[in-house]
Amino acid sequence: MDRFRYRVKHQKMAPFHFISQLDLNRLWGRALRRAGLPIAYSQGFNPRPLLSFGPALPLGVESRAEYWDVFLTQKLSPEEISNALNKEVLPELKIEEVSSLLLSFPSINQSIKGVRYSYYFPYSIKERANLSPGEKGVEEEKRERVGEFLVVLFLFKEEKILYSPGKWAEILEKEWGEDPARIVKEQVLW
Amino acid sequence: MEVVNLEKALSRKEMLSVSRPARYIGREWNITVKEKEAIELSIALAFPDLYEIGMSHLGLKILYHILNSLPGVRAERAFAPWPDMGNMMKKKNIPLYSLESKIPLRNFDAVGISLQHELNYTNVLYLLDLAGIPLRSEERGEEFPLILGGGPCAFNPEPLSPFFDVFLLGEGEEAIVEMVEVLKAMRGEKREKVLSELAKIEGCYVPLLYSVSYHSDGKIKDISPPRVVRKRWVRDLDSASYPPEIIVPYLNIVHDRIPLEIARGCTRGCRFCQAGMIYRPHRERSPEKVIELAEKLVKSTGYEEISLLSLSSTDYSNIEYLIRELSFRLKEDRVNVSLPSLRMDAFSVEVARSLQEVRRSGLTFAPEAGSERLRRAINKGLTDEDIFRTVEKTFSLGWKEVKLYFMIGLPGEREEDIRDIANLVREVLSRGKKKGVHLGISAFIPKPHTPFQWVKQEKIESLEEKMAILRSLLRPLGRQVRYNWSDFEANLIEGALSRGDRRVSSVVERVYQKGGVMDNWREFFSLSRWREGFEEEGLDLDFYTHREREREETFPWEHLSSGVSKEFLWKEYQLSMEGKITLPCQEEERCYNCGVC
Repeated sequence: MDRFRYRVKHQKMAPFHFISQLDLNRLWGRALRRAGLPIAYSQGFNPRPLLSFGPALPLGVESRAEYWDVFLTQKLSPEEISNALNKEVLPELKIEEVSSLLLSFPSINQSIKGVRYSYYFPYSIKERANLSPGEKGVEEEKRERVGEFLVVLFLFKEEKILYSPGKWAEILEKEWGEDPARIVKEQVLW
Repeated sequence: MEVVNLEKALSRKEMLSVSRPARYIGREWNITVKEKEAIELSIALAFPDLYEIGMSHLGLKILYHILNSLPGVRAERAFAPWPDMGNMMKKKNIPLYSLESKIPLRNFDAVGISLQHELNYTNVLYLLDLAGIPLRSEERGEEFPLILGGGPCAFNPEPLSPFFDVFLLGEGEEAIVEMVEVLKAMRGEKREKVLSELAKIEGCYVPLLYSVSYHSDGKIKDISPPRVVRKRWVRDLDSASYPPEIIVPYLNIVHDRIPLEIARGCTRGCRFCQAGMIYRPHRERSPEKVIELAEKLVKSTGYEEISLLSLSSTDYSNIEYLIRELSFRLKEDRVNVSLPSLRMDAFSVEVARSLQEVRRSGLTFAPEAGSERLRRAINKGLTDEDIFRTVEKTFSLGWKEVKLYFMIGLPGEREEDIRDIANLVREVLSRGKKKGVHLGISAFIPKPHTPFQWVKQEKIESLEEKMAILRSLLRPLGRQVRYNWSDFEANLIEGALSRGDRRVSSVVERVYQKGGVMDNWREFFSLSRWREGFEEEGLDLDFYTHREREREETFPWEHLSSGVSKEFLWKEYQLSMEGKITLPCQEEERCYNCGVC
């Protein structure tokens, strides 16, 4: 049977950051089915939609750059897929982009070089925190004011995600005495 | 409008500190949020158990659909939070809110609470307390919502009577619409007036309008006025409202599939079974209607499985046709069809095979008792041979395990009946090679509106002795037999509440005040807390559980009718003691005048 592979990029914004990766996998299977897309299924007694996900996003972390691959049995335009799926999920999970891939293209896990996260802290930490770059895998750092929050962007070193975003939160909390109000995965570096 | 802003109220870290925070965020697929419509009446549908349990309940889905399809009516859901979240909400002054619009429950016009299980009673108070609603109806001013109750426990809601304004007996599809009409028409009127108007609706029980007096021995002397409230039931399932779309949760709930009710009621008349009595008569939804609903539900939800629900699904007259047709139509979408339980016969095993249930390791049956004699007494007329043939067929078709449900502590049970459970298991094992048996043992609990409503419940010590005998007999059978049994302490309290009277309500309240919540979860249930509660209220737990009632005793639910007459139930009880079977009713051909139709 013909197979066509697509990579879907979507958001996972609050409050969906409290939905686990496993729950999300089920959600996409159901959204694909509702959208009436020609999903390819696994063989066997318990056929499942052929989906493959990237590294699991920890609970409590939002994302503007989540990815998964899906196999369809018919060739469709990426726009068709993205429009159909966007009708079946809430805006917090908005599909940003769908791209068509070769079947032999490396998996998401194989392709990821780095991930960029934003940590949103209360503005009050600005005086207390000594925000110097270059430590602990922090390659780039910016400071902006968004509402009441100070935004710190961390760019992890290529090919090496030194800490999980949650671990980073712990380290920062220890140093600055505040837990980030939000953590957002901004970008995946390929 | 006041709403709870969860993101502001609780930090990311605080939300992560509670188990499964997804329970509390809402935003599921297919929820109804009425943003633009002018709302005349708002009703919160509250379930006194965890999200994963409440979201699996069909009645909630049906009422949610009916209410939200009425113009000007807003219905939103709420569930009992796990105690970690409940404590957090109390600490942070977050009132219990609806999942859709995050409106505090106390700001609704009415709160409807589903009463599925006696061990949820403390959770009812937990819901009200978290919502900031005074527990007792008499303490609630006009600004608070009306508290409505329904579900199987409404057939004896006396232990909850002071906390509720109205109970609905029986099926809600039609009655809820009538109730909404009254509530809409009487907006702004005094509660007392609204209640007396609601009481005129058939099936609506307003406990405030009744008073109960007692003899010196504790038994009920009189319930007045002598007006009996009769349960509601829907004549025709095809014309009864059924949701063409249901909410799709993100969490893996207990029954994470499309529930499609194909029939209601059961003709078998098992004497221990409350559902078999209170959901009478037996009615079926036509195959055409079921298929139409199945297709709509698959499209609207994307679910991968449909479960055909009823108390005995293989009794459905057109079950083979229905399954063939459904499987054919849903094949392309890879939607599986499943049945919740199987009757113990070859036909049912064939039906299961047609469902491709082979992909599951075992099939589940409920012989309920070990000996033919005891099965006759409970009107489960299976012979040993029926059981062996069914199991043989199950094994020969490739299933590796059978799960068998039994009850212990049944009226008239003797030690030999317990031994017969083990004998039966041994024989079952001999009917297949390398096959297993999974036993589920639960304690029998006498329930109101059944032929066993008169009997005494077995004591914990005696149940434990029986369990010890059973264990010693099962041990030599080795690893092929797995078994688990129910929590006899929790079963005792379930029994006390199930046949409790109005006085027991103060025990429920006291137990809640002592910290009792989530009593149906082993990690939270505490028998000593309940014993203290009874003692401190001067009530005798044994009076409610371990006491044989006389034929003429006035039950706490005497004024509440399931349609099945007390006379019929008594006759069935007598037949049970004589070991006689009552065959399934068949409308005109074989009617026992139970009183429902």
